[in-house]
Amino acid sequence: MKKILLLTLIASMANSAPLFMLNMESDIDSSISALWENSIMQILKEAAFEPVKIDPEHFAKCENIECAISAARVSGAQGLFRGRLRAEGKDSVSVRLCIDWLAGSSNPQTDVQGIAPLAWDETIKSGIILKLLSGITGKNADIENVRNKNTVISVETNPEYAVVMLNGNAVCQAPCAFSDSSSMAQISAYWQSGDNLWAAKTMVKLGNDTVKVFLELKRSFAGTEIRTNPDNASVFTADILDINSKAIGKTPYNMQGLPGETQIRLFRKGYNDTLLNVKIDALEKQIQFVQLTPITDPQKISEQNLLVKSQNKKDIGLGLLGGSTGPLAAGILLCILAQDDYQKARNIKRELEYPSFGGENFKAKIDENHKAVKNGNLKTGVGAGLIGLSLLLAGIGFTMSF
Amino acid sequence: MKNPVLALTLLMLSCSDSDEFGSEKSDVIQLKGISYYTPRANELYLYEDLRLVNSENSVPFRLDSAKYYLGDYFWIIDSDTIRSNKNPHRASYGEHFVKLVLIDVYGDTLSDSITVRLNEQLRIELLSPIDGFSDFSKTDSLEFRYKIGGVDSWEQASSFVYVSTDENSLWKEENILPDNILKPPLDDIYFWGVKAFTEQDTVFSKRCIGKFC
Repeated sequence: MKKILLLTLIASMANSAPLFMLNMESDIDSSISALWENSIMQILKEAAFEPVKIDPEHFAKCENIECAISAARVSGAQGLFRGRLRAEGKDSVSVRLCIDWLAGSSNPQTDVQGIAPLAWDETIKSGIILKLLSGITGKNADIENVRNKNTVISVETNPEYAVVMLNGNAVCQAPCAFSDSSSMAQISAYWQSGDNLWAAKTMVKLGNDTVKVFLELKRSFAGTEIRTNPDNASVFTADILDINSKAIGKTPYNMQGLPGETQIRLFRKGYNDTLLNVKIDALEKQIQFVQLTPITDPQKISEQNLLVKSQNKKDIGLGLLGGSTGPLAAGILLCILAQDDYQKARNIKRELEYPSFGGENFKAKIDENHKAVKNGNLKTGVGAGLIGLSLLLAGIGFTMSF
Repeated sequence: MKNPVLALTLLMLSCSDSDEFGSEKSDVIQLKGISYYTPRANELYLYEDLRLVNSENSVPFRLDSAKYYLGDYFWIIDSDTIRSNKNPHRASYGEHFVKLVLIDVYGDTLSDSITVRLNEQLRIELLSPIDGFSDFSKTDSLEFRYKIGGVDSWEQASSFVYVSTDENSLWKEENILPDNILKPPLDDIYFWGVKAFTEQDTVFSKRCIGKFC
């Protein structure tokens, strides 16, 4: 409901101010990237927006996107458009479009992503550009439904019973069949055994009534590497961040798992928490880059500092608690060794109960007995000291942790 | 939190004191000396003076019961090692080196040694004139000859010849013949004898000569 209201608001804002467009990030052919940019500008114009391509030098002073958004707001833009094109296998491209709307005091953001054919004519035929733009602008009226015919896709895999995915979403277990109405579809499958993953994927052109797909699964080491700017951000699960949250890693972070989409949370002191959708491909290693936005709100900074301080306190406490086991173990070990010395001293003492001439050997035995007792006392003293230290550390650690 | 640890430490340390050996409580074996006795020829009786001493008393004990206290012991008589305390020991006349060696259970040794002198019995062998000699007419003097045996190297022996016509008063001092020669022999019967003596022994031997013997 909120999204509908947001899109309605956005639609009502059209024609009131320019929509700044940043150059699209792309790792595909530059001519195709230019076609994408031009088409997007054209469609936005037809949808009554005023797209203005912004030279990167316009935001030369900015080191992060938060600054660029602020600068765009100062320039009176109604929004800041960003896009990214990533090659997805040989025949397709992953598209992500995003607009930060600058009306009012907050910065609502609309974000869409999808898979499009790499060939431009196929892209046009698929109507994906219109579909994506309607997703972020809310202008559905202009979407041309070029295809509404369902194609049945029948998938078989070797080995069988692999999980089959359509455009990154699990749909069935092979052998199986399902339908889709788009012109292109990415079919992938994976099969997991223990920690090992076998996977395969292909792009299929949908035009006939039925398409048969056979996937020979291969060993896959795919994952998605999360990179951030600045780096060294802590990676958490998607849960709410609190002092009990445990980081699963730091960026750059190589995320492994079953193919599909999952969420993680990125945290770095001085920057907003970022909940990130991470897509793990069945076969290919992905790199996902995240620009962290600095916190400017003093209250948020204060809250974050408090959280970090609490986490640090807890970490130190847990460290002390964990560290207390070392002295405890050493102390107990020393006390046990001390008992060995005392036992040795007792044995010698028992031997010394026999009458003697008071000769050198007898005196050496007495010295040995005294030395064993002295060693035992030393070990007991040090051991007890270490146990005391460990109890002290554990007490402080416990107090700090809980 | 620290107090229980401190208490435990003190408890353990106090227990450890009982493991420490105090030498003042121990029994000490002392060998005061060794002695010997030779009741008969070639028989040597050896004795040891052993004490078990502690801070309260001193108890004598025999080597026979020392097996409970000692690791080992042995006697050395000259070059012979004797691992027995059984008396008497066989030993010839003369001077002998005797040593008692004790070894305690710790391997320490204690010893004492003495020199044992086994006396040979002093004896006199009268040589001439032979027993019953009576032909005084053919001589104007009689020389008394004898031999003394059994004088040990550490002994100094003295001897005198006594001559008398009365057997009962033979050993009187006035009957000592200074140069062992009687001249001239006028009576028909004489008793003569030799007295030999050392610090330990005194022996006598006598004979009768003359026609009335």
